[in-house]
Amino acid sequence: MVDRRGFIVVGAAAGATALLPGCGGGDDRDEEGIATETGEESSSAAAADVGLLNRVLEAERELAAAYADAVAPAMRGGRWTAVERLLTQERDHVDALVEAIGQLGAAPARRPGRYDFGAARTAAGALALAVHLENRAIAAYLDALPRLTSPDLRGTAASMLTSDAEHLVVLRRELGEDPVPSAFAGGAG
Amino acid sequence: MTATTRRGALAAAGAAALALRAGDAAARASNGDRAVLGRLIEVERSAAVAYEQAAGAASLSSRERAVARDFGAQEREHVAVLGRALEGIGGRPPSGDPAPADVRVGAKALAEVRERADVLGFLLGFELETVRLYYEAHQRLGRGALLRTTGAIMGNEGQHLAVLRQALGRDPIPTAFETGR
Repeated sequence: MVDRRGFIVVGAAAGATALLPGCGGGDDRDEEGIATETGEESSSAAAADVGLLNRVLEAERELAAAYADAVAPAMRGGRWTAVERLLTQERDHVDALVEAIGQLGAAPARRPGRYDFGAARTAAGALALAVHLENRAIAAYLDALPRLTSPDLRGTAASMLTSDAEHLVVLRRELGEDPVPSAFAGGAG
Repeated sequence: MTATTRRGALAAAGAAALALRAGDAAARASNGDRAVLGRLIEVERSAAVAYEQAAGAASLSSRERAVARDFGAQEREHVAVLGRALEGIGGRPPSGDPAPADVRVGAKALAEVRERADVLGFLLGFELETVRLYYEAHQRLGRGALLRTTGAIMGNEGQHLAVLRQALGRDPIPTAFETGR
């Protein structure tokens, strides 16, 4: 299992036994056609990555807040302990994104004072809210992935996208729905 | 040759060299992407075969067999989409499914598993390897446009993982960073 600190600090490619053709780590990226950047280009690429990560961070922050402030209160009574696990993992995503932005030499965007999730919800309403926000976070990752310039960040983003997609299985099961209704998470084909 | 024309010629030569270098880099990137997509398609074909075999496994419940059928159909959708993507960058998708005896997780072959826990465990192991392959692919693919598709597929494979873990009585979401490890 991968924990956040090892994952972000060590770097995504470290320790992997390559499964892909020609995949021996990160040293041969120039051979794969990714041009070597000048200092100025590298700085510009990092700034672009920071912008993309901040957009994903906003989606993950709202998701974590929703689990804490809307879903957990609606599921009180210990009937559904999965909410604690979901909340913890969303907070891990937030922390990882903040850390990644810091490693790029930037500060994360300020978080809003509070999110308005409306009046108290039924359990089903709270779960539906979580489904909606998980899908929105996945969409943010899918939007960022093609534009992130750092290969390691693309790997990190894909791993968190996949975690959020897995959360949908748990939520849909609790709602009595088909847990995997599409072959493409987020509806992208 | 005057200084001006020499400068012009040097500039033109430099530009041509840069263009050639960029063209070489693009060609290498395409070759790399074609190899990655080809490998992903092979694995997706194997996954489809694995689920289709599981859909006929007597040791699974009728509900589990139905889920295996659905997941097999989703793997076929992945094969089709990745095949179109590969053709779009000038590649030719690998054709033909592997024989069940050739679909393996470690030393274990699909054709050897019979009992419910073994069948589900085999599928879980195969999905872990598949997710790991996609995770690596996201660090290797040079064409950004491909990453939206591979990201959506990797997410779907993670969902298969969660369902299989639940079926085996395990925690469906053991990690916040799903890399297949």
